[in-house]
Amino acid sequence: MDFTLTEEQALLRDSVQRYVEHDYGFERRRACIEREGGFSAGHWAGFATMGWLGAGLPEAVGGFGGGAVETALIAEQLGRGLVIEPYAAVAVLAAQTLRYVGGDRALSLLGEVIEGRSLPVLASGDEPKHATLIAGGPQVTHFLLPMREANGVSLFALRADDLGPARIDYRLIDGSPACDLRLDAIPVDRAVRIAGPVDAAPAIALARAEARVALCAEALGVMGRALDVTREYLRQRRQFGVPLADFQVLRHRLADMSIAHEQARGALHGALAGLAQRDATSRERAVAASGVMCVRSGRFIGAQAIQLHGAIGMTNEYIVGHCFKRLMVIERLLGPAQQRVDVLARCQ
Amino acid sequence: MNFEPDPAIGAFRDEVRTFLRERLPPDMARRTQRGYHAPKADMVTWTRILYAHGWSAPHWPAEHGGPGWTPLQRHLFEEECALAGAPPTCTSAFSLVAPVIYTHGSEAQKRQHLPPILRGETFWGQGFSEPNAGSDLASLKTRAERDGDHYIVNGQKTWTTEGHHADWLFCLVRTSATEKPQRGISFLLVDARTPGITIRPIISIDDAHSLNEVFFDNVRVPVANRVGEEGQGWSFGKLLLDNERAFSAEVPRNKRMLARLRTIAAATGLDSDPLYAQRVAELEAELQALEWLTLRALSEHGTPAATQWPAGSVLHVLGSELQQKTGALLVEALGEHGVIAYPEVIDDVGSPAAYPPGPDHAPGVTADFLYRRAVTIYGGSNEIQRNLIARHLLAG
Amino acid sequence: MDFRLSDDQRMLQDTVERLVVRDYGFEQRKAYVREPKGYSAAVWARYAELGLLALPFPSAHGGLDGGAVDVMLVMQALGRALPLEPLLPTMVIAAAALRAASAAQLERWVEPIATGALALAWAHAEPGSRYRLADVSTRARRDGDAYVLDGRKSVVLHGDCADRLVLSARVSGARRDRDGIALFMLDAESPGLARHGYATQDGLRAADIELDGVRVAASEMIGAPGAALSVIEGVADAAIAALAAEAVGVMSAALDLTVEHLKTRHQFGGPIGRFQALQHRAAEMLIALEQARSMAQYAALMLAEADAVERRKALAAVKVQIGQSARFIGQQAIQLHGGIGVTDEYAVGHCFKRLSMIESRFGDSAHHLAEFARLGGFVQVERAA
Repeated sequence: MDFTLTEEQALLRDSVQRYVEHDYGFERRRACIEREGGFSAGHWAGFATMGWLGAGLPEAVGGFGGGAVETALIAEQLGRGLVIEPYAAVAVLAAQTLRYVGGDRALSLLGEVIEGRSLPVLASGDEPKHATLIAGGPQVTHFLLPMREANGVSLFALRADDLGPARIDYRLIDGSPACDLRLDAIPVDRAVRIAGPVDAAPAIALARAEARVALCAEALGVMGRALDVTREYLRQRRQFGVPLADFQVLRHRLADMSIAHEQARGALHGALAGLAQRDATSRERAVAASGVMCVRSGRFIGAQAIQLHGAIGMTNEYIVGHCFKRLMVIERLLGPAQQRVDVLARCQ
Repeated sequence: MNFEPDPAIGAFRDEVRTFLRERLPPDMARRTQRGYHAPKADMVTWTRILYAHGWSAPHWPAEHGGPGWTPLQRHLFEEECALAGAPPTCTSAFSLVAPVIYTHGSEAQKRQHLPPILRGETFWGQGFSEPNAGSDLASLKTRAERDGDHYIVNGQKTWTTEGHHADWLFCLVRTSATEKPQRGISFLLVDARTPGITIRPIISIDDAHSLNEVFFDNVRVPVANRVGEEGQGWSFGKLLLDNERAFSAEVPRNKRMLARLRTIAAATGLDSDPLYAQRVAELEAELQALEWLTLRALSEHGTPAATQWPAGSVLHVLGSELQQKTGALLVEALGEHGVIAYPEVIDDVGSPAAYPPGPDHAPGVTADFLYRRAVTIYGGSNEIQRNLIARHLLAG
Repeated sequence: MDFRLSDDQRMLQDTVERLVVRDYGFEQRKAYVREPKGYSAAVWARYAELGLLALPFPSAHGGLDGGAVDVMLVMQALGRALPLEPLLPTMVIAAAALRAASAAQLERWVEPIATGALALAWAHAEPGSRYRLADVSTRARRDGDAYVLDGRKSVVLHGDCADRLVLSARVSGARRDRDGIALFMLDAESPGLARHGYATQDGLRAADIELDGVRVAASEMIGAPGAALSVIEGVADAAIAALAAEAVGVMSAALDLTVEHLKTRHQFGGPIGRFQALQHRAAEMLIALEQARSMAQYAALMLAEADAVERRKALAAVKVQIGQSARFIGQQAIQLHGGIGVTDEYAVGHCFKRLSMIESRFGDSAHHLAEFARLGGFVQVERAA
């Protein structure tokens, strides 16, 4: 076990960090949400060029030889910038699904993902008739649909253009585009089998686990940003003749936020270790635990970031409210609270 | 000491319920219950309905148009209104500026302002906080320089709720530079249409427009609009923030939120989940304590017993934090719909098709939750409230 | 509804407060612990003198017709002293249990209770019963005009030297049946009854009781055979309300000790009470105390509620809040005292231990929260406009 980053990993993290700092400022993000539907093709092409869309995939499938650690490094930095483009949904959940089911068609589509030419998303949920909260929006090119067949669950792909009224688009509270799919209204005859008659369920489960960890890493980045912004604010803002940072209660609150941040990071490391486990139960437990800590820390840090800013934290013109809202969305994407707790309890 | 409910209270509650059933328009209640900011038209219409019944100012003395209720009756009235989905009346007018005017204002000011407020004809905004004067309000800088029988006001106020709807503003301004900053502050009533006033919307994190910045650029305000003497403004401001009205509102708000939670949990089947049921139960137990704290505080208000514990601060902290906890559970109860953006549909007549997909009970829940991040911040943040409680404990 | 004390109530409260100040300082308490019974015989006699033991019993039989508020005021005032005496079982529990008693039984027992001659203990819980009130395995077999008792009772507070035990046993039915339980006013010296006494965490005494063929006259059964569960539930409710009030007293003592410490303890060049973080912690303790105080008042009201389910819900909510406040205040009181907070010589650790004991009496917070949730909670579904 080694907690230090390799040189390549450090370079990767730094390059994402730099990109976000220089090319993904708060105002730029706001403009993207308000005027570009919450997706910038230019940014996505940039992600592809820099190899980030393939960084977490093995070379054998056309990736650049990294794994879950690389994915987490990228996700965390994107989280720091509140990057709105659907990295976790496309480059992790959909991409890893394609990678794990394997086969020519899947890997061909995967190649397009890595190059930034296609943006598939996985469309499934707990309801048999409805797939909800699918991150993506108008730029999604394909919907990957698991369908139950005689020998298990198979994976099909439907081009977004073929969907018609089966799809309803909307925005989430963080400004990102999402959609619902009415599974009983999709043109099944247009769906193309991606993976042969093989049971795709284990592949999807693995991909889901990786996507959850990526979301936890993203949340960690959002939390880190909220923490940094708050620390800076406490230093600058003066009331009663002194910087707010002079007040012991506020210092302790910041300390508590920092502790929560470290807890979430620790849980993320546990999840990354868990992903490496062959044993499905250990893996599930580690991922679920990370989800629990991520949500708990996220709620605390998000709420305190607003509270410590006072009223300015309540405005849309300032970043902490957006951190709070993104953490709410990530919490929801991780699944219902009960599920996480159930998994953990079951894994004892 | 006895805790049996007063026999007359049941009849009073019935009277209020009957009134609400008969006079609160159902579409108005539905809009209010969604949890978006109440439209001005609803607030004004409702105020007029209340006024016609003599109930628009429950907290005012009878001589100025109040119905002459006991604190408990006022509390119950608030509660029934909240549960029925009545919109608020203009809080800045009825609860904040009016008590200052009828306690400390001149006869002319009382005559000019109280009746229109009572009738729902004037809307008010609060000009207290400034960009650099939040918790440290005494450091405010908006100044009012004397020029004959006018003040010339220059400066900037912020976080003015519903300021864009206001006919009048009440402001704390600096009329003299003094060693102790509080001593140089005066209380001014300002006609919002006075030339030189600019109002700029602030969009809050619930994507709504409720807050505003107000800029004063050489605004001429008659000296006759000053309440009390120069330098008395700070004490009036404190009177307003300490007002019992503030803490007695916590229970009605929380009851309405919990009732909504129960409804949604029933609609989604979540109420059969034992873990969820326990979390709701915890909130209900807390609400019970809050209610009894409130009853005690109301009965002690204005008596020597009130000095035994800092009721206003305790109730503010508990009530605000309970709202946030309940709000979080409400969002959770919506499941995936908790993170979908439901922009307010202004003419909501109950048609689900107007909103993004989701159950009819979804729109407004998350917006309300997001806006309520402010309840632990405004009116004296909970950090300040704890300072005050500690001061009480450690004094003497 | 009136939160002010009547003259009688004020007098009652003042009387007990004076006793606490004069006779129940922490150093005095340390001496009482070492007395043979683990409490002061003199203080017990004083309770009797002041009428505290007779308080809730009917005046027709020598009591004072005291109500729930009176009991609340007494328990709250005494709670500050972390009292050692068997006041809860002798006064509160017995009064609740004896509501089902016959006139002859009241004639026989109220007077010695009131004079302090009869100290009682509540013997209901058994190994494995875990807060379930109907879970009774101890059996009572009818034999002529007596019953023969066999079984075990665990953690009977004050059981080691009580004169009589208010004890439950099953005359019929399976272990967890609601019907079939009976209550007895059992002589603790009965042949066949063995008690193993021990100290509890908070300095009190308790006992595990073994019953091996213990005979008890049928005239010492309280109420009808097999119908005791509703009485037991009433006892639990009354006990919870009284414990809530006692806990408020303990918590207020803990807070006062803490505030005093913040003012007087000097570190880093001044009293530690000038550190904002500690000020806020004390503020939070006050908030928790006032929540608990209000819930103890609510409990006093709801004891009179005729609807058993409503009463149960109310008292469950009370125990939950008391538990939360107690845990917070107890822990923070120690924390803010620093090192001395965990020493035995200092009162604040004892406050924490008493609060922990109260938490585990008659069901802990988790138990009551589950109960409260199961019973449906309070708030009605939102009414349509």
